[in-house]
Amino acid sequence: MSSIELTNLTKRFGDLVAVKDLDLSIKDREFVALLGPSGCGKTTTMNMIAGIEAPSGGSVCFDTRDITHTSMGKRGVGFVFQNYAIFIHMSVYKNLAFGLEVAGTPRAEIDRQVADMAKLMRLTRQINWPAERLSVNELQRLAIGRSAIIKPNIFLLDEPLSNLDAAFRAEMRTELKHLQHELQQTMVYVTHDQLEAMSMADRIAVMDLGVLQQYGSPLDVYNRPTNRFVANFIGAPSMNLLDCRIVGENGATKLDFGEAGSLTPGNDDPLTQICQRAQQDRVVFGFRPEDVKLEPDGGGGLSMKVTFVERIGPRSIIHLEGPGHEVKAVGDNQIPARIGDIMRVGSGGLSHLFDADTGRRVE
Amino acid sequence: MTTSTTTVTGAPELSLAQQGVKLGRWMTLPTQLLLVFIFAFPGAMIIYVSMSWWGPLDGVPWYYAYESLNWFDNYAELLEDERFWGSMWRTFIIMIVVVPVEFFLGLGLAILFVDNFALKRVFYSVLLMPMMVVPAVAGYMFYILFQSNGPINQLLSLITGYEIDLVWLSDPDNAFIAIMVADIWQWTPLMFLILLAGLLGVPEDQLKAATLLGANWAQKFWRIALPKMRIVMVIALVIRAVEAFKLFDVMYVMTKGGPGVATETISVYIYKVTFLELEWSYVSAIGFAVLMFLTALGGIGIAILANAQKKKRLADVVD
Amino acid sequence: MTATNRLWFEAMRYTLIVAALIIFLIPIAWMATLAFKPVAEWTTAISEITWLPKNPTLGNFEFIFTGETDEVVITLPNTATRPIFASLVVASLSTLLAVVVGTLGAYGVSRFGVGKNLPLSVLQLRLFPPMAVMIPVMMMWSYLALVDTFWGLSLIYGIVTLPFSFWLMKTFFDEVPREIEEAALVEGCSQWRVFYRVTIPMVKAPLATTVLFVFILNWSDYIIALLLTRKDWVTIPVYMNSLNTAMTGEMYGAKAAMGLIAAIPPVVLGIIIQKHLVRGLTFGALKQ
Repeated sequence: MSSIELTNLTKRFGDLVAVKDLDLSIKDREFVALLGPSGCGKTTTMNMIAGIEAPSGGSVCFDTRDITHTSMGKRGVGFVFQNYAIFIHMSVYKNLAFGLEVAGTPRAEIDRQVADMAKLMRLTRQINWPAERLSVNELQRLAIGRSAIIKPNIFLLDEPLSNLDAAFRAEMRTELKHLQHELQQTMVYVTHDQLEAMSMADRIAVMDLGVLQQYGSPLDVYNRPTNRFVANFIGAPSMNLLDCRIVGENGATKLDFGEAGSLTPGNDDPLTQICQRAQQDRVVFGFRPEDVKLEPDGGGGLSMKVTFVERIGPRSIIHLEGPGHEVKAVGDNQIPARIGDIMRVGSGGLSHLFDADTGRRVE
Repeated sequence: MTTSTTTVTGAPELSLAQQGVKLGRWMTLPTQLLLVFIFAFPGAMIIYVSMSWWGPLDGVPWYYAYESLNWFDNYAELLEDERFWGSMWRTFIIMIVVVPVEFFLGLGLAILFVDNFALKRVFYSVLLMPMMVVPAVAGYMFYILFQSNGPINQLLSLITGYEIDLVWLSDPDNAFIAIMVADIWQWTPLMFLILLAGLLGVPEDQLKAATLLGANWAQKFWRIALPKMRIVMVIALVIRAVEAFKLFDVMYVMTKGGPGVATETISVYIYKVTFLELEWSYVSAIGFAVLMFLTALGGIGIAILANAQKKKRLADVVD
Repeated sequence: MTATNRLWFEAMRYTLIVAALIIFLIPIAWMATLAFKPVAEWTTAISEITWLPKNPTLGNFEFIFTGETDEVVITLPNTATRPIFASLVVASLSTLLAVVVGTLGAYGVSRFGVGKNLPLSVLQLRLFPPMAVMIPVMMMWSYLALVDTFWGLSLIYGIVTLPFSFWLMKTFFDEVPREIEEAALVEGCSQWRVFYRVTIPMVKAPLATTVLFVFILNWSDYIIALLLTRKDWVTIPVYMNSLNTAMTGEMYGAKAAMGLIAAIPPVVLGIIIQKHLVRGLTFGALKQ
């Protein structure tokens, strides 16, 4: 079992910088998710950990060993590809046994370990089937089993759940977590689905355009996003981000949203002090749809019109538009909102401020 | 979908699928016609004539063959014809030697070409050239190469340091070798082409997965690449085997089957009997027999191919 | 793989490839040099073989095109002009025939499932040893007065190369996604128009490949032309191998010159089409 240390890791493809000066520390037996949109460099990063790609700069260390230049067959990592890359022409048994066979393990030992792994992966019944007969879910378990059987220290998974139908994804998420505890391995998990990352990872590394945006526990990333990108990426529906100005009026600080109105944070709201301390006056105000407070017209808050109401079962998502701003609010089904209603929008929970130019969090 | 609707005029209008089938019939008609033309008539004729004694010297057109019907006498003669069996044997030997040699040389070259390297496209184009050379011209090239005072002997002399003065084309054994060299030269590129395509078709992800599991190059080749290439290899082997059997151009130009009958393959034999001995009915019998043999050979290959395609289609459905 | 291992491997690779290249080029090179050698250098003792002509000359080419040259005392009864013309005409015509018929047939089978027997039957055409079938063909052809005519020769060539055009185009048609055609059909195009205006433009490159490949095959035939031509429509390979005169016997240089002319077009064409050819030749057995 081992920790992973990425230092100054960089990868260039011609002019394109896929990964830029990445510093990342993954603890032994930690489950870390590399999260970001397509093209953010997460898969490239993982490929460099595995040795599939060689870095243009920087280093990769397992525990204290620098393995940046070790070839990929000798790093002792398990890798689950997005499309599983199962040896289709072989049986389940042969797939599982592959890693042991190429290492020259005696046949009796192979039989034993394969049987154990098959049991763990719940593939015992299918053990002699040709791999092409397996369903997608079974293929995924086979892919994991095939890598796990050689007892790698580190397990890398590249969007393994993206091929599964939504119903099974939730089931597999739990299974993977159980597996990690059983096998006691360090796991690095690449995904673009923030829900997956949030529910499975010990820590999440959010990346965009090759640069690490934030690295922290799911709650950290959710409650204290370090910049606008992370704020927007985490959470569904995504956080409401509205441009506004900090203005001081009559000794009181408020946020001016133009024609839509303004919001004045209360005196014991930490936001007040943040606004007073702030160097800039053009900021972005962020608050999650779950924290939106909606009141009928005539009170305080921003004036907006309901444009659409989504009833999705247990909750409703209400879309509102005001002059120059759009807001989504999530609430229970009791909220009396109809299209065309004018309502007053405020923040009832955590609020965040980001610099309008750099996007960085303002504290 | 075979519902039909009526148009304003009351005539039934064809559904799209029906239209398609009708168009399809028209489009395949010329092919069917040509096939009938070239199969039916010559086929019938061969069988008919092969069962008689007719020949061009009889002075009557071929359909009078019934006048000299002999049923299976020609075939019986065929069974005892030493020259025929000799030529079959020689053809077989050539096939047995050149096809594997071309296969392994082609495979070796293909393996060299799997990765990218500088000037790859240039080398690739040049390596394909022998395949494109007109076979009759290729035959002539080797004819002049294998002359006793030709460059082959010259090069051999240079390499071994001895004065090599071998007689190639007039020596029964050497001529055989010369012909095989010519065929190997011309057709190894084809094997190379097909096998390289096969190698490149091996899914890269599976190879990566294998590497990550600790497999070395040899293990990857045996366990992953080769099984995936089975179909392609069969195609290559069957194509080459059938064509090797039909060899004529190169052979005839180089040695005309000589010296004596040393390099007489089945095609050359048939040619000689046709033109020198004018025993056309006998030749028809030979032709028919060889036809049946090659059909069987090709049939086996096609069966393997069809079976493999069926399995592939099933796998696609499962995925 | 360590750095030195890699270097060694690359060196081996290049060595082997270059060796193969040299072996593949030797025969062509030798013939090329022969084509430019004067009569005196056509046959010499081994010790005197030179790879480059001592006195390069165009005399051989002159000879085959004009029938006479200063070096050789005799004149040729037939020059090379006619066979070159014959090869061009016949190869083109037969290619047209094979490709049109094969393409139509292939589409019919690929798209409409008609003629299920065709792929295999057409393949069987290639299983005949040409010699075996030539007798009935010769008899048929003389009965139909097709011998030594360009349409007769083109017809048999077209038939013999039909399997290639059929199978190549079928493989390519199988790969064309149906959605595009279906979209056009939904918009009201008839099936024929879809084929003509939608599908064909999509397979331009494979079609070109098929045309060139079939052309190469038709250009390269020896035996059929040997048997079915007399003097008017003799093609290049037949002409070339008959370049012997009563007086001097084998005309090495002239034959080499002719061989060079014969070999160049297919080689050039072959290089142009190589990429698509591979897809077709493997019958789409590879999931690309």
